[in-house]
Amino acid sequence: MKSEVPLLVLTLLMQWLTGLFAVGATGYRAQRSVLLPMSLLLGMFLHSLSMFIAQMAGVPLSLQTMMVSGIAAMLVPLLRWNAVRGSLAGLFMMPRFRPTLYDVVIFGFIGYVAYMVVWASWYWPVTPFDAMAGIDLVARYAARDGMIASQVFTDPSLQGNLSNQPFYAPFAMLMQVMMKLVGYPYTQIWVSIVAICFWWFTWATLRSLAHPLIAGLLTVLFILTPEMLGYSYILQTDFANAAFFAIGCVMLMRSINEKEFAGTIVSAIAFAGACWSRTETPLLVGLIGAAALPQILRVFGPVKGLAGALGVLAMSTLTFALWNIVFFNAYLPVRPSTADQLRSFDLSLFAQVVSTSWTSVISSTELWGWIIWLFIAVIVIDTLLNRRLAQPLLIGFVVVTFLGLFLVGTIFSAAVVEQTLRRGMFKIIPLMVVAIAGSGMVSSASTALYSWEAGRKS
Amino acid sequence: MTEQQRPVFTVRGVALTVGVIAVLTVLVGPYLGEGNPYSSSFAARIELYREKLDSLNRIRGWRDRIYMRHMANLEIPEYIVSKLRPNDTLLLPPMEYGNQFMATKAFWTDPRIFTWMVGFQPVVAWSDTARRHKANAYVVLEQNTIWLTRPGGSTNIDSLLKVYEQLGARK
Repeated sequence: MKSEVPLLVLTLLMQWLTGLFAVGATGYRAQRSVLLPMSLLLGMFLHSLSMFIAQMAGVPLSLQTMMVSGIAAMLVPLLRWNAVRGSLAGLFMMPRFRPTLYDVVIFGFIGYVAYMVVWASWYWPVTPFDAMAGIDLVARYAARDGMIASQVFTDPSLQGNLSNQPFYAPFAMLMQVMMKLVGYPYTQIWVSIVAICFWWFTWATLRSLAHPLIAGLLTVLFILTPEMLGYSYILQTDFANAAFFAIGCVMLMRSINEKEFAGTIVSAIAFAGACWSRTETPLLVGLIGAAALPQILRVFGPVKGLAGALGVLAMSTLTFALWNIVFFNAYLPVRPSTADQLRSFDLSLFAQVVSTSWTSVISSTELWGWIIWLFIAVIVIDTLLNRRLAQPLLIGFVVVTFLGLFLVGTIFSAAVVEQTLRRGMFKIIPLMVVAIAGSGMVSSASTALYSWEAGRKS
Repeated sequence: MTEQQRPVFTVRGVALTVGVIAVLTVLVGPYLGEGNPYSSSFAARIELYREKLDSLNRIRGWRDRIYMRHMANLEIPEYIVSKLRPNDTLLLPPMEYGNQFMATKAFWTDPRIFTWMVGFQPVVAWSDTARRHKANAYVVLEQNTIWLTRPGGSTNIDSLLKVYEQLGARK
C-alpha cells in the first residue's frame, strides 16, 4: 500500500473526530445517522480553518503543520469534556437499524455510484477552468512554497491576470493543499468524500421525515440530479458550499422544531463553513437568519433567540472576514477586484436576472431532473388539499435562498446566471428534496406505506 | 414522522423491492427516451467510466491522465516550453487566435492555465498591455502546425501582432 493511503485515512479520521467533538462540545444530541456524516464535513472545515490560522501565525504549510493543526482542532472542543461526553454517549450503542430487502437494493445502487465517484475524483486530474486558474493553482504553489501567499500572487507573468478565481474559495483551496501534502498531487479525492457524506446526511434527514422507501428513492433522485452528479467528483467550490449551507439550514430547522438551542450552534458552525467555502454566502446566511428569526424568537425567547441568530451571523461573518479582510489586507500582496464588480441595485436588472434564471436554469429538467417540478407539484397539491404548508420554514429558506441568488446576480457583475447562479442552485436542490419528504402528501403516503407493509389497515 | 419498525422480510416487502428495482432500472436506463434526464446524465457520468474502468486503470502516469483531459491545452504549452531559449520572453496570444485551430477552447493562452500546465515561465499575457513590449518570442499557429518566431525570423512580427490584435478585439 502506498504511503498516501494511510495518511489520507488518518487525516479523514482526525477530521471526523474533530467534527464529532465540535458537535459534542455544543451539547447537541444529534441522531447518529445524521451526526456521523455531518461530523466529517464540519471536521474538514474546522481543520482547514485551523491550518489557515497556523499559516497566519507564520507557520509554513507542511505535512507536519497539517497534522499538528488537525490535532489542535480535534483537542480544542475537548475543553468542554462533560458536554462532549454527554452528547456523544449514544455513539457506540448497538445500531437499531434493521435493513429490509429494498433498503439493500437502494444501498447497493448508491454504493455503486459512490464507488464510481470516488474513483473518478481520484483518477482524473483537476479539469474545470475556474479550478485550474484558481483553487488548484494556488494550492499547488502553496504546498510547494509552504505559504498561501506564494509565487502565484507575485510572479510578473500572472500580475493583473489573476481575476477573482484564486481569491474566493479558501476551503476548497486548503483541502487541495492537504491532499497534495498527503501525496495526491493532481487529484481532488476529498470532493467525492464531501459528496458521499452529504448524500448520507440527506438520506438520514429524509428518513426522519418519510418512509424509508420514499426516503431512499428521493435520495437516489437527489444523488442523480444531472448537474450535481458531475460536481460530486469534479473540483469546484459549489458542491461543498451547498453541503455546508444545506446542513446549516436543516440543523437550524431541527433546532427550532426540537426546541434544542444547541442545534442552532451546530447550524452556526455549518453556516460558517459555507461562508468559508464561497465568498457571497454571508448574504444568503443573513437572509436565512432573517427568515428564521421570528421562529427562533418564538421558540427560544427574545434574549436567547436573538443571541442565537446573532451568533449564526457572527460566526459566518468571522470566517468571511478572516479570509476576505484580514488575510487579503495583511498577508496577500495583491487584492481581488471584487469591489470593482459590485454595482448598485437596479430593479429592471433584477427582473431580468429572475426571468433569465427561470428560463435558462431553474426550469431545466436537463440540469435538475424532476426535483424542481416535483417540489412545485407537492407544494401546490399540499396547499390545495390541506390548506397549509407542512414545512413553512424550509419553504421559506428555499424562497430566500432564491432571492439571495437573484440579488447576487444583480449586484455582482461577475455573477453570470448560466454559471454562477446555476451552481448556486446546488444549495436549493437539497432543501427542496427535504421539503418534498416533509410535505403533508408524502407524510400521508408514508403512513399508508408503513401500514400496508405491516399488513395493517390504515 | 418517527421512523417505525418494519418487518424485515415479507411478501409485501419483496413486492416493494421489485418495485424499487423497476424504478431504478427505468430511471437510469434508456426506456423513457428524451423525457428522462437522469438516463443520459448517468450514462455520461457513471456508466461511461464503468465501461472503461479497466482500460483507464492501466493508464497510471499523471502526464497521460492530464493529457486525456486537456489534450492540446497541455501539448501546446509543453511544446512551447521545449522550444524556449534562455533569454526568451513569450507573448501568449489572445484565446481567439488559438481557438481558430483547436476543437476545444484554447485555454492554454491564459497565463494561469499555462502556469498550471508547465509551471512558471517567462511569459506575458496578451491582456497585459503594460508588459507586452517586453516580449521577444511569439507563437505562430497554422493548421496542424505550431512554431515560435522571434524578431528577424521568417515571420513578420508586426503582421502577426495585427492578427492577434484583430482577433483579441473580438473577445
